[in-house]
Amino acid sequence: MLALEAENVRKSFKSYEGFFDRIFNRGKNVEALKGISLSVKEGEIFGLLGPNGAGKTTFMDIISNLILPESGTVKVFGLDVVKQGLEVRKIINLSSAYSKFYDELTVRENLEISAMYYDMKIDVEKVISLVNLEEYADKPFGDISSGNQQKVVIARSLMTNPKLLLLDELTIALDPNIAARIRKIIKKFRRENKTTILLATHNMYEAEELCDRVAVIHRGRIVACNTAANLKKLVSGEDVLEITLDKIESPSELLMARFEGAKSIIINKKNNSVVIHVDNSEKRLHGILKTLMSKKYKIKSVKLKEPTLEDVFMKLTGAKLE
Amino acid sequence: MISEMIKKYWPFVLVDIKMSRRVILLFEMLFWPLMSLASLGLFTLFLKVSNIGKLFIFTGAIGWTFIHFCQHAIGRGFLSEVWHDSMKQTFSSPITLKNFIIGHWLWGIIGSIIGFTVMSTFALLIFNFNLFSLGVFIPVFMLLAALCGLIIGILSVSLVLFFGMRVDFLVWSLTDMVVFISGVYYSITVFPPSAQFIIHLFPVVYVFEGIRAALMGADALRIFLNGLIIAFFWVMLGLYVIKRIEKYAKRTGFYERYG
Repeated sequence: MLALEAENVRKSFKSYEGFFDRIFNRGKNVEALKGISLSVKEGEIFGLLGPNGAGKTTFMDIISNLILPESGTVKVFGLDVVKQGLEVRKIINLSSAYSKFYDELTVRENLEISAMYYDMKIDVEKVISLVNLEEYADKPFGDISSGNQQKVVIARSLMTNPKLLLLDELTIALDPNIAARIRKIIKKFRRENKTTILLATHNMYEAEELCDRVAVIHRGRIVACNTAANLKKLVSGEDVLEITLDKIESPSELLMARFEGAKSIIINKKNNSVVIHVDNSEKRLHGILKTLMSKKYKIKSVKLKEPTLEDVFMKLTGAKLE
Repeated sequence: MISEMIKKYWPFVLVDIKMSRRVILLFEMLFWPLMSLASLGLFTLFLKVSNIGKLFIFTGAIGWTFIHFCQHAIGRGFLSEVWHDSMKQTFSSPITLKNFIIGHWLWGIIGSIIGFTVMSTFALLIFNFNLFSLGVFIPVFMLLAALCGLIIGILSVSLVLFFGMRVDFLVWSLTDMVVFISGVYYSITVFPPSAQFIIHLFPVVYVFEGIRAALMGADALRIFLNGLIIAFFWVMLGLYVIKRIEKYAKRTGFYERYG
């Protein structure tokens, strides 16, 4: 049986400006999902990779029965999320990086109360030790670090041993060490429980490290879906050059420049770099550098990169992941 | 069956009990009502208010606090999920909004009973006003007042679900708006007959008419029973409406926006 089946899921929201717009239903339509179809096998870790605003969270919320889709169907282990919402919520659990707990209650109290919502016998102590939070168990949630708070949120989603675990931006805004530890916990949990996991992320490393398959989502549409290795083949035969300049004053000037053999150009103003996809870097590098120097740019470094999922995303959408 | 009911509502009662460690909740339950009662009591002494005047003032203050706390428990419980960013986690669990509201309401009843007991004892000891003489009508009054709190609580949560957090102030001010038309400190005979008819379609007025009738030895049972029938109707209607509004909120992405 498939753990998750989504067929042509569409969702749009109305944005209301004035108070009376809501009453008279006069709002601007914003399409969040434009016909998402996917299926996830039991025991699989499936990634939804896309930038903020791509529609990942909306899709997760539809599965969690927090949002109703406009059209299309979503089934979790054969249960329809709209018609059998309560039944679905019994077998799933959602961990969102943006979710928190009651600040005033201790970590243990928060988890105990959450356990009661599921009407299950849950060994809260075991869950606390699973995420290594024993020493914080009796501290108020609001008094512990954001990294540990995130661990509590994850512990809450693991403690019911869900058949489908939804992880929305698992490690966003966490320092790399804690993020790595959290990924380790998820891997261990999956190994031991064979849980199906749907991971929404804009972190390509996370998607590559954890997911069996990845769907690239952009502006409410899935633009590609495969294993990370197969997705990378989409940019095989291409080299990725990352050239760091002293400064970029006019990105449009760079975009207009005719770099020989360039298939796509992405400009990152933050670190003054230009990422250029070319068919053959050895052959094209000289010409590209010459073009840059003719435009009075000072070149600080040139890197030849292995293609990543971010490159796949760029190739498919022409946009950056962040 | 009882254990099933306890399982449904207990988590929310427990959250409120644990949250009541916050000093502000003790203030809301006891300090402010007592301060208000003390001020009104001193006011009756200073102006040498008649017994009938005292009856209106003390029953109004104590009865209103009961309804107010029941409603606030529901509204605060709901808004607390938004303030703590825990809404998504709570409502993606296998709970229902109805159980959530009733659970917090049950805590409201517990708090209101404590508040009622403390305030009535205070009124008796300091101002010689005996509300305990209501006798067997005390539980009837409490039931009706609690149902009124539930109805206003459902209404306030419905408004937030419909309009979003821009109307969260209604959770705190809705009961105060109702004071005006429900004859808390005065008889609604001050209104024109047509307005009185409309006011009698809502249960809050029966709480105060009933309590005053009981203390004056009039037929309070009939008033309370009428109030209970109307209150049950409004509760049923409220639960139906909020289910529809929750669907609307799910369509418009309320939980995504405030999760």
